[in-house]
Amino acid sequence: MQFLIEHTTEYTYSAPATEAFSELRLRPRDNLKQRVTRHNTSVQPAVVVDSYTDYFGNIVEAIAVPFRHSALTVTSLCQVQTFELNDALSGLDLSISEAQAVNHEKRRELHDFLRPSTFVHFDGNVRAMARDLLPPSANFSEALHRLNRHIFSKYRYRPGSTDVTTTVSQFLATGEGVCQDFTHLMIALCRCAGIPARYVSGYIESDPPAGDKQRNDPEMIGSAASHAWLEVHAPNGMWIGFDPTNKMRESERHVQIGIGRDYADVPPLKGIFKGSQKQKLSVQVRVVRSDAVTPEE
Amino acid sequence: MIGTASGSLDETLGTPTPVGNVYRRLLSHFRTGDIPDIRRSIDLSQRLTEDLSAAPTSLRSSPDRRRIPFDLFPRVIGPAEWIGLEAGIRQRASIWNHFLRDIHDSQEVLKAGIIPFELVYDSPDYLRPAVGIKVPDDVFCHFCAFDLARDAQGRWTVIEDHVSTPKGAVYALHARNVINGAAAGLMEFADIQAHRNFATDMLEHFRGFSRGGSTEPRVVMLSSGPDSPDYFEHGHLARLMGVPLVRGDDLTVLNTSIHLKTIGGLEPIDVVFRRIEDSQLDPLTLDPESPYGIPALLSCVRKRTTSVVNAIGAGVASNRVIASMLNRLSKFYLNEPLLLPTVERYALRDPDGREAALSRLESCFVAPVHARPDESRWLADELSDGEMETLRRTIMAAPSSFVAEPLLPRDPLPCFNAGGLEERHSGLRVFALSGRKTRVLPCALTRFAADAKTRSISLGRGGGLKDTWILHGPKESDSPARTIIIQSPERRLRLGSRIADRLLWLGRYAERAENATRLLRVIDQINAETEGRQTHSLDAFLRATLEKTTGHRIARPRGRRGIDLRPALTTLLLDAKNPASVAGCIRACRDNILAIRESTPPELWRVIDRIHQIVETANVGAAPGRVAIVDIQGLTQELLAQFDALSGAAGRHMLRDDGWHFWSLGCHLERALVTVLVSREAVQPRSQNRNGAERQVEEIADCLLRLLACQYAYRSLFQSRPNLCNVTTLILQDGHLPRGLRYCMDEILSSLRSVLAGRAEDTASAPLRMASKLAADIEFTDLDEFFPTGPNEPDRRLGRLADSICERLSQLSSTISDHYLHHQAFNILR
Repeated sequence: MQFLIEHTTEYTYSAPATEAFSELRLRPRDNLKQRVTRHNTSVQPAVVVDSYTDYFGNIVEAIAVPFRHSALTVTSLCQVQTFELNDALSGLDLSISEAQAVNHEKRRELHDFLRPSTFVHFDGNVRAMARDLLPPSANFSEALHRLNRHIFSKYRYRPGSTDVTTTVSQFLATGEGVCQDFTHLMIALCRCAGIPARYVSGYIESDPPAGDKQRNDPEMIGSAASHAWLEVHAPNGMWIGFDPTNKMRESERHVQIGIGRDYADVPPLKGIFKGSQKQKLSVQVRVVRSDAVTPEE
Repeated sequence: MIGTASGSLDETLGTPTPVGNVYRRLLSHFRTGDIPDIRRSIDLSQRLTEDLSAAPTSLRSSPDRRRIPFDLFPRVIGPAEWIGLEAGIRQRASIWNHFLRDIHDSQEVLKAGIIPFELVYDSPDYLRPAVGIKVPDDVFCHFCAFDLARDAQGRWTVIEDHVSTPKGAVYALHARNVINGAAAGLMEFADIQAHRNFATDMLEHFRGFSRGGSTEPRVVMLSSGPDSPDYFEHGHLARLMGVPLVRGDDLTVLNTSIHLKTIGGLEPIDVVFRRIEDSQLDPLTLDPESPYGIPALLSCVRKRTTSVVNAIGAGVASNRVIASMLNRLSKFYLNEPLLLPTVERYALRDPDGREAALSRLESCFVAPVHARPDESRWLADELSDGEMETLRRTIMAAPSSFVAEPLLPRDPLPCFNAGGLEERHSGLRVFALSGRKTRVLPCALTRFAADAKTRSISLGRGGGLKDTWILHGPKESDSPARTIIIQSPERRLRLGSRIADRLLWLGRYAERAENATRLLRVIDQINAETEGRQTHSLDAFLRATLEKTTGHRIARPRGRRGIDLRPALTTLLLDAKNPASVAGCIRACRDNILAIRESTPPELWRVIDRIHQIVETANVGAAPGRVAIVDIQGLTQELLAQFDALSGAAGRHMLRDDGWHFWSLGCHLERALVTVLVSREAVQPRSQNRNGAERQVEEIADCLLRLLACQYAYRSLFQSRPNLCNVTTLILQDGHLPRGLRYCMDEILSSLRSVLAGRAEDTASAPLRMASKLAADIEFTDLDEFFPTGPNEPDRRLGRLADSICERLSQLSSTISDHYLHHQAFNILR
């Protein structure tokens, strides 16, 4: 499938900022599942956009605005082709403990995805749930599918109920959250059970999930397409995507931007502003199939 | 007078080694020398060290300034021993550089399993964003230091590696300065390696890592400023190196390159010598909570426009467990045995190590795995039973966070104490500049314990300082001083905007405090002379002057005239909460100079601190929220004398550089404003009795002269009773009167011309143009015209003229700020 994605971020300040610095992780990566055919980032006011590849292989764009300005707008436009992949889990018939044994060989490379991280902690609840839901003797692939469904049905998707600083423990306490929380929880459970898991940020072509219909927060309108899910490392060396928020596997309708240990490694936007007391952030995301749409340029 | 010595000292003294010879000579000097002379040296050395003791942040946090004991008796290291140490340190620095390069590159050492990968991957100092960034010459650790002690066999071992932001060099340099100043004669007893250009060598070493094309790279030192406990050291070292000491906010990123905000615009910087921790360096990519770093610094390093020394990521080597595995790293990277061993150290994350350490914990030193400047460490043999229990619990709560080291035998050095020699535990820190080649600096730091019983040698915890003498070998002498690159003037960095801003306000507040003091003093005098029954118009003039210059409303009981002004005067003197009061201005002065102590002469600080103390002392005993009742005349006289001392100190000690000009701009802008404000009140027509109207205006004219301290100037020029026309002409237009407006404008113009030097942009000259126009308007106004009916009868236009001058002075002040201080890059892409 071919998608045209337009991601616009605008900061407006209470008083003009004298300096602003920002790092953006908005540019989809190239991999087996997808190919970026066109990409453009523009910034207003006009400054140089530097880009580099970070520790986890994500493309980062960095901007510095060292002069007075009253608003900062970043528009990221890209065209991505996604492919349907064979089910990497099919025919993988082994238990979780066997999978662990296979992964042992690569424990150095996988270390980061087995350890707690900024938002993913192993508290008592998480440990108990992991023992319960991912016992060592269970079938690797079945257990993961079951867990994906379990998280979907047990927790409530409610936008605005959590924010970007919510940890797994807090999510468990309230039982409601957004895609990021669903993802963090499943990552925590997998890691606890010795299954390497990593966070994926990206876009999804979808109608807003159920329960999202009545959203009335004007700041967030249009950002529904920003999404998060996770990948687990299978013993065959493949990373397999699960989307517990939507009770599905990663599909052709998912577009990956970046991967990391958790949200802290792949925030779409980081910013430092000087001189301004408050800044207001508004995000607009548009994901459309471009098989039908002709690119404007 | 010299007491006994025992053990190893006796051994040292008994041997015919170079060290023994020096010690014997020193000892005999102290035994036979002139006792008052030696006393004097000891006292002097202590006084010289007080400069150090007074300097640290205790200024801000607590009033008790800690004293650093200084011991005249040096540590002496013989040539053979030093050569061994040098080789060991060179090797160690090289291993650390190999390791850091590898960790930030392909991580072969982890792939090969030489050290457990968890040690790196789980370390809070392992900065993933720094991995993959190539640094010049693959050098991460440009400046390093090692703490050494002798083990049970008497061999040197490394007890601490400082590979990220090593500290203490300034204290080592200072120890030599103290000896030079207090007892230079002692140095004739030995052939000592000179410190020579320690700081300039360091600067040149760092410049070598610049990647810009410039042959004259520009270096700045990045510090967290007065918030850092090491602020004094940073300032001192920056001064010795001749580089600006900057904070994160002084720098910004323009076109992926670090720039310093200066009064001349944004200036590109090639090398950042950082004195803050890794994680604080870039709040955008690393710790977002850090207020000290430079957002996007990492991008600049990645783009190779700026180098950071020590490189970002070097902190991962501040790991005591990895340091204890240096022998493996030595084998892996150099295929050599480790020359200087690391002290025996148990990693408490290992069950075996934990068991071994816990079984003998009472004879261990315990510290965190990840070294931090403010970390807790425990000398278990000095702990009480309760403290031991707490330590065990702390360890067991997070064993993998700690290491334990069996205590080494004490390393006693002879020290003077109460006229005798006494042995104290001591430690040695050696510094090295590391790159393709590593140079061990002949400038080492020796600290000793406060008393014979303790082991702690930290200067902050009672430890003392002494000089370290490294002896020359038989035929070796100091290598000749290296060529020092003189920077061409155009490559010289201009003054940082923040410092210029502080200096300008320092000048303004100092002047404002002085003016307020004089006004209060004169008003109090007049009040006393007339016993509070001054004429209505004089009373109105004085009140209006006070109100206009301080912004403080003066309460006035209804229906009474000539009430006692003293309560209002005392409040305006001492109420520090009122920003317009003398106390408030002095506090602002002190805050401003505290923030830039490293860039101002210490003499200036001393006077300001003294003035501050005078005001504080005067207000002692006041009820909360009130001010004390004081002798206004006595206090103001004392203060005015100190303000003279302040301008004297500034005139005497400040370089006539850009900094001076901003200080001077502040002083003269403020003075011009006050002069005009007071004059404006004097020419305000007031309702007067017809009888004696002339006399009343003369009275005001006379008073105006007193308020501005111009009486003598007036008499010598006019030799007559004051009339308002002459007085205003003198005050506004005479170019020789230091308090006069015209003189102030001349000074402002001359400073603005100097500051503008060489700036090309049109806009930069805006303040100068503005000031020139104002000065010309003042000079060519015919003031006689404003007195159409008589020299004591100004018409209303004069008041309006004064108002417009005030307005233009304020505009000038904000234009200066906009152009030189609140620096903004121009949007260069347009």
